[in-house]
Amino acid sequence: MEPEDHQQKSDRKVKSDRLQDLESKISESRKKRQPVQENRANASMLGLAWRLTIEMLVGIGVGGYLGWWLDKAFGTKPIMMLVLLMLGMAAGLLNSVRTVADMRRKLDEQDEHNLRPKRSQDEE
Amino acid sequence: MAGNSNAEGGAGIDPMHQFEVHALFDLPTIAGVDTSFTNSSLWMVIAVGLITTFMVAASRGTSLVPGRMQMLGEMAYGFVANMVKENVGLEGMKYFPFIFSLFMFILFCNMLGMLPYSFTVTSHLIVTFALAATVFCLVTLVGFARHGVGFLKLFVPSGIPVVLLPLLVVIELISYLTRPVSLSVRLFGNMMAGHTMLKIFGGFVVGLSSAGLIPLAIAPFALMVAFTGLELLIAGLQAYVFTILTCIYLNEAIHMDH
Repeated sequence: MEPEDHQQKSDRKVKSDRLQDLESKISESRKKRQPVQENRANASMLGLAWRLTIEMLVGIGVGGYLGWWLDKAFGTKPIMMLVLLMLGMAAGLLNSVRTVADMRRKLDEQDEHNLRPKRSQDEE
Repeated sequence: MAGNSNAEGGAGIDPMHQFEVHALFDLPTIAGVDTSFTNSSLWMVIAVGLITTFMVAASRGTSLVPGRMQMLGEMAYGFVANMVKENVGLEGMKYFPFIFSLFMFILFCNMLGMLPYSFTVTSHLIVTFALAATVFCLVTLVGFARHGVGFLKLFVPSGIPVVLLPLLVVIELISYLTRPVSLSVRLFGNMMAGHTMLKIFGGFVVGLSSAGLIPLAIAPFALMVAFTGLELLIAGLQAYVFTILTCIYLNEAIHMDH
């Protein structure tokens, strides 16, 4: 019985060693992954800047075009275009504020999501 | 096209030349519309053909343990299906065929544009605007079909003093009308800017190395390789952004939770 017992013990030891190996490998590759996430955050910030710029410019453009079109339709040469340019600016601003609010909400959700596994790791 | 401009050599490269649309064979003008088959049409047909081939190959001989093609097809399906479910909910799955086609078409057009000597269909504002206008019309129709005149409440923000209401309704209306424009300008701008930049750096490399300054050409070449990677990312990302915004607009039309 004794030699068998001994063997079982060593088996278990090998297993736990291998598990530890695996764990350290996993945490290592996780660390390697971190910068990628950071890059993605930076890329999304660039994307956000793009979106806001486009949103504001498009607001002005659409407002101006609508005004020009209404002026042509009603013969009120400069008035509608001036008014709608302003309103277009406001609409563009509104759109970009909404975009930011949306982004903000998503980032908060992501933070919560990212923080949870970290906390459980610390507890371990 | 890229071949033509490269043949001119060195500093003579025109970065905008790659966006030129020309007729491959002429067809008659019908009701004032030139129906000639252009290089743009050719690449759209190639994209649609590739998507069809891909999906047919993916869905043929399906098995419980998927093969490579089936796996790819299921990934594409799952990706878009999840997007629709998350952003629109289960009711949104009615519109899944449209959204999936939209996503695949934009993705394939963007990716095909990354091939040398190819033509980037999505780098033309009119193409992206046609796509965005389709989305806009669909969303508006869905909204009116679901809520009738009540859909107009979308333009009336709640909790606003009556005096300000007319002003805000007009602003909301303009903001609604900017959607197809910003949607199309975003895709078009990203694709065009990226491809122009690639061409300019490519011009540097060709120009410097043909002037015998090969060591100097290394830096723009390295930059170009990096930008090519970035462009691949953007090609995928913009297809995703276009699709997810479609989902968000659709969600608003169906649920009207402003």
